Amino acid sequence: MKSTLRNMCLSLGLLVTASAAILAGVKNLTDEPIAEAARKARLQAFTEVLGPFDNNPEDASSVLADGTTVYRATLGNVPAGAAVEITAPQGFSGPFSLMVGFAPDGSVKGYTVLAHSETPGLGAKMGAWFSDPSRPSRSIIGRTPDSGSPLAVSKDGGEVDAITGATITSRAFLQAINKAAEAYRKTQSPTAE
Amino acid sequence: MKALTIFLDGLIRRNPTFVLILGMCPTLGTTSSALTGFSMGLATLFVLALSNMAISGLKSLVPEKVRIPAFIVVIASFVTVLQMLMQAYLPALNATLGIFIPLIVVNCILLGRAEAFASKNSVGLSLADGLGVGLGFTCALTLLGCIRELLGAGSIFGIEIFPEQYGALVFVLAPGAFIVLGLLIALFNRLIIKPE
Repeated sequence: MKSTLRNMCLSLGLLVTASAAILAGVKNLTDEPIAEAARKARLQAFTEVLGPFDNNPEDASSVLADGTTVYRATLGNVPAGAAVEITAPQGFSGPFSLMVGFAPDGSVKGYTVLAHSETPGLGAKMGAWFSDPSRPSRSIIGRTPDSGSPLAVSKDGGEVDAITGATITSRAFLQAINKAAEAYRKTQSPTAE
Repeated sequence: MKALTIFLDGLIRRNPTFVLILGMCPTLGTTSSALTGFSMGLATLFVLALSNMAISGLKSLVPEKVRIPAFIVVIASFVTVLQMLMQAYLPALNATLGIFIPLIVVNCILLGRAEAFASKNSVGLSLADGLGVGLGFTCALTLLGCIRELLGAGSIFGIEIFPEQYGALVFVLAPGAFIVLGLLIALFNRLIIKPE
């Protein structure tokens, strides 16, 4: 086809219109499955970090000013702790996000890494490192981070062993856990105490 | 017969990774494990086969001077469709590959095949070329991923061959990608591409 202005405008215009129509169609089709997949991922995270619960924590959530979200869980109408979704801004390769579960007494019940871009083999180990029950000096499960004694790596005078070769990731991780604990205390309703 | 020759050409004699040395960004970035390398290869294969066919079908309707923007629109559309489908049905894989999926748009293998092959040949031959080159890319990425995962983490496709602590971490990190890729290119060219 000859490259006249009319031809060029017409052919590019038609191509872009057709492509936009196809994309809009596919978006309509995938909107629901995408939302469903995100919901499933969150539900999966809840069961990983919380003890038994029978409500839908998504219905009992509150969003704090900094974007941290607290999902409260109950079992037979009795508070059963909460899951806190938090972003750690100081990761080694950018922010990463965690879901941290707290028992009603404020101790860490479990955690899972939702998204991260830490170095494979170093910082990326955080998913298993801080929850290894056979290594009590690494594990944060069962510890209670409170404002008087926040969790810190042993290099900074704390009690938790940092990931070998990934102190920056470990610091960011523990800071996020501390912040999550603070958020959990803040949102705890009086009935929970 | 001609389609088969073109397919094998893309797979071996003009292998995008080992011979043409194209698409190095995803090659180095996504091959830290066999599974991610394999998935990235398949994603590229999907877009390459479809965009090659579409561009070949559209070639008589696109004026010469605006062909590059037109090709990019076609490629970007298929990549976006792929990304939405992955978000919906393979969310875990989508999270692993992350930014490398949208980056397929600027992968020079795709524009290269569109410009050098699909815009001059029939739809059927373009499909053969897309499948050949795409499969060549997939094999190369999978092989690279297998070797890096084995040397770095002691496993292949997540199946443990030896305990992880004996692996050399450097192979999982960026320098290992360059070392393994360089050696594979040398080996491939020595064994398969005979000097003329």
